[in-house]
Amino acid sequence: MKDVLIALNKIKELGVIDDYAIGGAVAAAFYIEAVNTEDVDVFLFLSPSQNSLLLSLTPIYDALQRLGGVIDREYVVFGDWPVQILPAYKPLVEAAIQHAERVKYDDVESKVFSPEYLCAIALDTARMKDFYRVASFIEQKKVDRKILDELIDEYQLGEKTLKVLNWNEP
Amino acid sequence: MKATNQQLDFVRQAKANYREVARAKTWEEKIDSIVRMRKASKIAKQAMLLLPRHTKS
Repeated sequence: MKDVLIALNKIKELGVIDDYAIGGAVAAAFYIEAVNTEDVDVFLFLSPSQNSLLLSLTPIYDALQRLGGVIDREYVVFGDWPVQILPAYKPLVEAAIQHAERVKYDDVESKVFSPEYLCAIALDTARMKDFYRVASFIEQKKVDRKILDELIDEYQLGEKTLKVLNWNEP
Repeated sequence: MKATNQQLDFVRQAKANYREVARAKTWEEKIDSIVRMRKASKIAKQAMLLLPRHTKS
């Protein structure tokens, strides 16, 4: 994982990307009990391109490959970690990157989504495992319910909360 | 054979202890544990493929 973060910081320093933050299960593990996941989700700001989205990711894949990553289908693999590059595809994700928390992994600086944005994005994605993730944050008391409620209102996620088993727990 | 209450309590306590340890880990330790979980899951899936399949007679 250290190699992943070093490579991401390098491509940010080189200006290949504007900013990034880790989301998904790897980010959630920063706060709550870890669960199995196949990859690390890296969300990033992409400069507007006149070409297709696929073409605009090419410089990122190329840069990561030059830094030691191995391209495998849609992933760039560093050691044990396949990296999935995910452009900020909606305002909620853009806001999550902007509000990401600065963290360290073995003295390497990085950014992860906050618990509230992880929960909001999970509700928006709305798979069974996403509702389970929100329930885990609530059960382990690692999410600010007030901030999360504000995000739910702002991004109209209210109906999705009905599928979180412990949503009404304090 | 049904489990006794004592056996169930033992399992509940073991699960609670495991969770307490798992949640107290650093991010680095949790990342390492994810890698182990993934490898174990892969081995388990491969073992499942070797099990004889049930077919209707």
